[in-house]
Amino acid sequence: MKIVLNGEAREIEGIGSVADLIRDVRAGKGRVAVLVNDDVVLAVDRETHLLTEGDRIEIIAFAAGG
Amino acid sequence: MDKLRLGDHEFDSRLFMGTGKFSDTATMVEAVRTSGSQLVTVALRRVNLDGPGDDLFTPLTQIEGVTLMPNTSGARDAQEAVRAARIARDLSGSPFIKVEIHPNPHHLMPDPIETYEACRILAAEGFVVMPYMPADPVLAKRLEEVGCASVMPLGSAIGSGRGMTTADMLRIILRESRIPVIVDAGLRAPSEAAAALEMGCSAVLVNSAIAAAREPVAMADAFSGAVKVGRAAYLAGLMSSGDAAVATSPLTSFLSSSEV
Repeated sequence: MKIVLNGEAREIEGIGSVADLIRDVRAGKGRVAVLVNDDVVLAVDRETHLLTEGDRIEIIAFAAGG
Repeated sequence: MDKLRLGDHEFDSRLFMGTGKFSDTATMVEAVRTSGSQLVTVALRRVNLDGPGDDLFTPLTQIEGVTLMPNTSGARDAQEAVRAARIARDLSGSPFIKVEIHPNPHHLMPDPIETYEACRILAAEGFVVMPYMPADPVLAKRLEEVGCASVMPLGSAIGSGRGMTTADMLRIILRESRIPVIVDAGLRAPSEAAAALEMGCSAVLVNSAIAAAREPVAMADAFSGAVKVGRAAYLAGLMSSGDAAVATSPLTSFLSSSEV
């Protein structure tokens, strides 16, 4: 399945939900927020929110800033 | 006890800190710890999927008493700022949001119209809204009216180190405001932070002055002391000033030669 992840086209396999994707690309690297097609997917909804072809996903975290 | 109240939170420290520009995360965390700051700003960005873990949430929230205040930096208008705020709240669990909308990267001056609109929406959504704003008394009052928890007028341009070039306007804002006034941006020296607190500002938000010091952790300690001194002086009540000299000793004439 093709998705766009943080602005880059990616081919993913064996990944069904948003939670699966986060585990795959971000395991153990701290807390993130996730947007799918510009909508925030809350942490409690990530297991049940399934990805579909062409989804645009943004994974966002805190960075240093003033 | 002298507490600063913002939303449902009470703070003992009147030094808020930003986390940008530090040479490394360990120095930043140590500076925050040393500063005693209890409200600490962070920004949002896309994660680098190929890089190492760059988690700031864990080390910052492990410091006792720290609440995170995400900012909306990068937002060019109210709509983007509101969106960033909602993402930030999901990420931090904190109701605090520093609304920061500066569309021009050359001067980083906050857009008053977009800032007002974003604050109006976010206050209605229950955020503890802390707007970075121009030192404009009219705008400060309008932001108070829409439910901001504080106003954060700039002392001078972000990262400029020019100090409180807006002092005259800050005095008007302080006189009119019924919510805490926090000087955000432009400070360079701890004495400027002390002056802001002496003037009646409730707190200062400092980033570059600490991060870009030769010894950031030592400078965090210096700012921490300065803010306490400034607040103590404000509470003690400064004497009034005037042009005429007023003697502190009796002007007796017994030392004149004719009486010897």
